Amino acid sequence: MTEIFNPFLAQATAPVEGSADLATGATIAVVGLLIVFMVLIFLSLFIASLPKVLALLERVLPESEEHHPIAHEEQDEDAELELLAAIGFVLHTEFQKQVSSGSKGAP
Amino acid sequence: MGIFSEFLQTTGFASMTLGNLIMIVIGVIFISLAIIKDYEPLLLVPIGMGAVVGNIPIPGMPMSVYDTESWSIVEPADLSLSQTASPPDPEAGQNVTYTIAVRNDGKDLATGVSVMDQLPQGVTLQGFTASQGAFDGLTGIWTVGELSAGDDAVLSLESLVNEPSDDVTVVKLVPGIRFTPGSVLSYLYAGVSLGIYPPLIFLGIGAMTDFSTMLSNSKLVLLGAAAQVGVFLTFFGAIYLGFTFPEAGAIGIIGGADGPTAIFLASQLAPHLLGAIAIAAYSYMALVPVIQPPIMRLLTTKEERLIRMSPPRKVSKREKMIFPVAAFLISTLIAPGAVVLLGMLFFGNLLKESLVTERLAATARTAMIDIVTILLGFSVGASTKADTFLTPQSLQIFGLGALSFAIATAGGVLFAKLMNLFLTEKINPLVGAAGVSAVPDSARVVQMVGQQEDPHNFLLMHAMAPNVAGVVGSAIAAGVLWSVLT
Repeated sequence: MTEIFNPFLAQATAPVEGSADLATGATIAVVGLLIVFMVLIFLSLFIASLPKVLALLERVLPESEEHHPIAHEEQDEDAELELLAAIGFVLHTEFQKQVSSGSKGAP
Repeated sequence: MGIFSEFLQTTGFASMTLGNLIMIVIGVIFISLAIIKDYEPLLLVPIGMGAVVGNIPIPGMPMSVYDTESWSIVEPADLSLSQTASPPDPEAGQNVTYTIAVRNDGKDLATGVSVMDQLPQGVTLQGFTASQGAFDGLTGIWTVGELSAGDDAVLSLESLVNEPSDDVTVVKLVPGIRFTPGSVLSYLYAGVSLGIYPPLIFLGIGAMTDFSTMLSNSKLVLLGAAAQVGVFLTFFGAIYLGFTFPEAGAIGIIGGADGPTAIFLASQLAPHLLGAIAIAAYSYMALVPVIQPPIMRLLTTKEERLIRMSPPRKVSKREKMIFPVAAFLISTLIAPGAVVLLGMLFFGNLLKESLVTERLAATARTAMIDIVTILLGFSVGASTKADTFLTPQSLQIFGLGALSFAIATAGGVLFAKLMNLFLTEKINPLVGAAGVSAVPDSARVVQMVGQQEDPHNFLLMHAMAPNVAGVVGSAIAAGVLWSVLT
């Protein structure tokens, strides 16, 4: 059988005891954490300012005028189904009332 | 009788080692925990079954019937390493030349060969020459590339001894994980080794994540960053314990409490540790309800745990649509290393929030993520062969992983307390623990611990904000480590 050394997993390594540079490791750790913080601080600032920016945009382009045909269709469909369910529920309740009052009145 | 004896030699029992047996038991335990205790069942069942399958030795079966190595990991190729120092005992201020030679003693071409060799402490690299490939002085990785059968490659490191050290650099081969080309597992495992599965899982996660809670309270995003302190402190701790930089990076990311991220980074930085790292990551994620509460209670007072937070504001559809695109641009322009994971995460979220690709979003968060999860879990499980998994290194990884998780939890809680010093509207510090990104388990733990103090305090929605921010934070941390350490 032909065996090929896995190109992605083949790795030979030198041992590690005492060879790692702690100072470099500390630098990478600190800088890495700072980068994570920096990105999320920027994200946080963006999120905080987004409603204000959108409020300004709302004057020019109101959200209700956005074009989302499929979404609107889906929403309309959902609303219609909810309405039908409500009508069905009311009809069923009324029907039950009538049936129960009819059965009470029966001899 | 002779035939029966021959048959016995072909059974798995004949080649079963104690390590194989232990790994099979571990696999069964994972499956049991997933079924009985409901610990991360979506991952632990495939990983557990993969571990069982990967540790069945099948010797001597005819190739036409069954590929003997299709279902098992084979030993590393016949590469040998040697290292010499000239002079062997250099004094301070003296130049020393380390010569590292790698030789392919096998019968076939070895591809993608890389050697890691970091200089002892007190020795500064002055220059190097390599007969082939490239050497990275920071990581100590010598990318040799292809090596024909019988060929060797030599790297010479010209160094200056600042102070003599007792450190000895002994070159050794670390067992690699490989499957026979063309076998089922070789194809399945390519999704792990090429880093394909984790981004696809991120696509599904993005399609099922609602960022509303995060968008409604931007301050809580920072808690997702604070929890990443666990990643970087553990990275440093791993280096202190003697792991190489890439190994330490892969171990540190366990603290991100994000399974796909941990697998992605481990497959890129330290594939030989992938099994241990993946299992540590998912085990600790499953143990969130056990690990986190004591730390949360230890670091907070009763008054702090009773803090009620105002309900999150309503987030408009427009905000939710703009966020994935803008957040992707902001994140990846600062940390381009995270482009793969974050790109898929925010792409998935855009599919969900755009409202016009609901069918794609539904596929990404259901069928697709399920398929990829099965493949990923099974492949990772199958890579946990006894001789690469049952090592002292694995125990160190489990220890460091637990430490990483604890530090991450503490980091989030303490940072929330720090923020409270400056905020007029106080944050319940318990929500800081959700920054570890084990979505949604850690948010549920926050809710549970909060309600133990005040049954009418609902922290779940607030905790989801640092929880999803933690997903972004751990992906950025992984991106940073990946770009720095490769």
